[in-house]
Amino acid sequence: METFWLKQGGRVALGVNGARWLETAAPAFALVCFASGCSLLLARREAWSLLPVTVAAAIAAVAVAGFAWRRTRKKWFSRLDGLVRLEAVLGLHNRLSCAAAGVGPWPPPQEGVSGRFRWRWQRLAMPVGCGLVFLAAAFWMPITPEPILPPARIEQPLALAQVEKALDALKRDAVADPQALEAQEQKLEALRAQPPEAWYSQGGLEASDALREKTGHDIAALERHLDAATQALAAMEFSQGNGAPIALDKETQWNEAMQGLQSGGMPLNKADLSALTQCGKNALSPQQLQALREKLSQNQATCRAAMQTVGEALAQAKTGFCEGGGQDAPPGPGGGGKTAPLGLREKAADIQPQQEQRLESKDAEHTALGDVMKVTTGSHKVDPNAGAAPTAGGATASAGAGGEAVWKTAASPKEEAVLRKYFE
Amino acid sequence: MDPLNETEIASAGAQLQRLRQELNGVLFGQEALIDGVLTGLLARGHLLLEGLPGLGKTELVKALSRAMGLQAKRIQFTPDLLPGDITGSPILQETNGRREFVFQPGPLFGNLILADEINRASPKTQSALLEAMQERRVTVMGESHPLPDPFFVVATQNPIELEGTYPLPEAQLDRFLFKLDVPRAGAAVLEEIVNRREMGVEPTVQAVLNAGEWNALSALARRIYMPPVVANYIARLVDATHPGSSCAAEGVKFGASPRAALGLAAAARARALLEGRINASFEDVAAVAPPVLGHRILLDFTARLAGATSAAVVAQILKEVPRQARETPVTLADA
Repeated sequence: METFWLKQGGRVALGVNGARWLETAAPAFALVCFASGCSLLLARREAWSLLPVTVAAAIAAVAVAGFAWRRTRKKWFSRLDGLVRLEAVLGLHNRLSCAAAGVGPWPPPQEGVSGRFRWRWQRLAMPVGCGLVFLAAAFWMPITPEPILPPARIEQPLALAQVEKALDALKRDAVADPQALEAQEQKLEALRAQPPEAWYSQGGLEASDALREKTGHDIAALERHLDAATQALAAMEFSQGNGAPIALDKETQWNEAMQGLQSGGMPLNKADLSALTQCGKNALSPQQLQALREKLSQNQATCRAAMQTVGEALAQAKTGFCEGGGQDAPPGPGGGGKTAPLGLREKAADIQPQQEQRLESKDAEHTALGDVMKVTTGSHKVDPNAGAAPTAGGATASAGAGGEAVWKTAASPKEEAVLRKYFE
Repeated sequence: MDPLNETEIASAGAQLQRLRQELNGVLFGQEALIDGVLTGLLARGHLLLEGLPGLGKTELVKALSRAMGLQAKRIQFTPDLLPGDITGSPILQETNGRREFVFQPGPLFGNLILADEINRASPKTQSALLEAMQERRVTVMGESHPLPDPFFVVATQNPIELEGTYPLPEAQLDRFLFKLDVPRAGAAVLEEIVNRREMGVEPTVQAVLNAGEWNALSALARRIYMPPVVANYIARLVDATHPGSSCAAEGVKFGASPRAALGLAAAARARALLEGRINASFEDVAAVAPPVLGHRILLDFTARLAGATSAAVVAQILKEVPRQARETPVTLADA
C-alpha cells in the first residue's frame, strides 16, 4: 500500500512540476521562436548561411529550458506534496500524510487515483503555437535575396553636357582657337571634377549655368563677328569685281569684325584668321575670297548649331537680358531694379492716430527698426466717478458675504458636496 | 505525546456515541448543534449560543450536565447583577470568638455554567467572567480560588430585543471557543417534539459519563495527531482573516487572534475524536472554522453597511485559501 500511494504521489508531483515548467518556459520559448524567426528572415534576405542562426536558436531553446527549470525548482512538488493533493481530492482526511509520518496505517489502494487536474492547454499552446508558426513561416516563406545593385550613376548637369557638346562641335569643325577651346574645356573639367553630390548643389548649379551662359555668349559673339566679316568679304569681293572702292561702313565693319575675331572670348582659329588678315591686304584672288567666304559661312553655321545646343544662353545673348542687369530690368525677385514694396497694412492711406502706421518706403534699406514714424497726442480714459469716497477709520467699504471665503474658496468641490449632503 | 491507537479511538468513540444518543433524545433535530457543543467541550472551550427564545438552549445545557455527570449552575444575567453575585464574596463569620472573612463561593463554582442572556449584564459583571474563563480561577480580595475541573461556560444571548443590553466586548468574545447559532426546527421536528414531549415535564436523561471520564476524553482529544500540512492550513486560514491578506478580508477591520488559531487546532482535534479518527484533517478544520472564526472577525463600517457578515467572510476565506500550501500551476485547474 505504501508503494502504491508513494507512486501515485510521485505521478501527481511529476504532472504538476511538468505543468509548472511548461508554464514558465512557454512565453520564453515563444520569444526565442520570434527572435529566431526574425534572424532567419534576415539571414535569408541577406543570403547568409542559416547554420549560425539554427545553432543560436537551439542554444537559446536549451537556455530557456534551463532557465525555466531553475526558476521553478523551488516551487516543485515533492512526493509528499503529491500525497497531500491526493488526500485532499480523494477525501482521505489526511491519512496519507499521517501514514507517511508514521502515524496510522496506509489506506487501501483505490482504482482510478489521480490528482484530478484539468489541463488548460490553450494557455500553453497559444504562445508556443504562435512562435512555431512564425518560425515555420520564416523558414518556408519565399524570399528573394536582395540583389546587389551597382551604385547609382549621377548624370552630370544638363548645362555641362550642353557646353561639352557645343565645344565638341567647335573643335570638330576647327572653328575657334584651340587654346580658347582648351581653356573652356578646363573650366568644364574643373566643374566635373567636383563630387557628383556637389553638381546639384546651389553653388554647383549656378556655376554650371554661368559656364553655359559664358560659353553661349562667347559663341554668339563669334557668330556675330563671323557674320560681319562674311558681309564685309562679300562687299570686298563685289568691289574687287567692279573695281569700285569699298564703302566706308563696310571697312569699319570689317575692322570691328577682325578685332572681335582676334580678341573675343572665343577667337577664330589661327588659319582662318591668317587668311582674313591676308584678305585685308588684298593679297587674295577672287576665287580665294569666295572660298574664304564660304569657309566663314560654314563656321558661322557651326556656331549657330552650337548656339542652339546652349539655347538658353543664345536666347539671353540675343535679347541682351541679364539678371539683375540695371534699372531697366523688370522688378521682382531676381529682377533687380526696384525694391519690393514694404507695407505693414493693406491700405497705405488708412493712417489714424493710436494705430499701427504703414511703413511705406521705396527703399527699405534706409528704414530701421525703432524709427519714429509719427508722433500723436492722446490721454488715458479715467472714470472720475469710479473713485472711492473717504471712509471712517476702521470701516470697510464692502460689506462682503460672511463665510464665502471658507465655503467657496477653501472647500474643494468634493468637500462642498459632502457639506451639502450633510446639511440636507 | 504519543498518538492515539485504534483501541483508544474505538473506546472513546463508543462513549461519545452514547452521549450523542442521549442528547439527541432530548433535543430533536439538532444533531449538528449537539456535535458542535460536544466538539467545543471536548476542546475544553467555552461556548456562546445565540438563538431565539424557546429553541432549547437551556434545555441542551441541562441535558448536557446530566448526561455528562457534571455539576451544572445557571446564572440569569440581568443589568443589576454584580460581579460578586457570580464569583462569590467573603462573609464575616465568628468562630471561637474570632471574626474572620470566609469566602462564600458563587454560582461560578460548578462544572457547567449556563450564563443565560449574558449580554444583559453590565460590562463590569461580564468582565468578571474573564479570569474565570481564561485562568479557570476566581480572585477575590487578593485570594485566588480555583474552579472545579472541568469548567465550562455555556453562555446564551438573544439576537433580538437588544434594548438594554450590553454587547460583549471583543476580549470577552475571544474567550469563547465557539459561537453557535441555534437554528429553528422544521415542521417534521416540531411534530416529533409535540408527540414526544409535554409542557412542564422535564425529559429524562441518563448519565452516561462522569467528570473524570469526560476529562479523560478531553485528554485523548489533545493527543489527536495534527499533520504539519493541516497546521499550516490553520495558520494560513487565520492569517487570511486579516485585512490585506486575502480578497475575502477586504471589509475586515480586525482579524482573528493567535488564540483563534489555537482554538481552531483544538477544535479540529476534538472533531476528529468525535468522528473516530486518529488525526485531524483539512475537513475538520473547515468544519470548525465558522464557529471558531466567525465571532472573532470584526468588520468595518463600510462592509457592515454593504450587508457583509462575518460568516460570509469565513465562508469566502475557506473557498479562497487552498488546502495545499504549495500553489498549483495556472495551467492546471481543478477537475
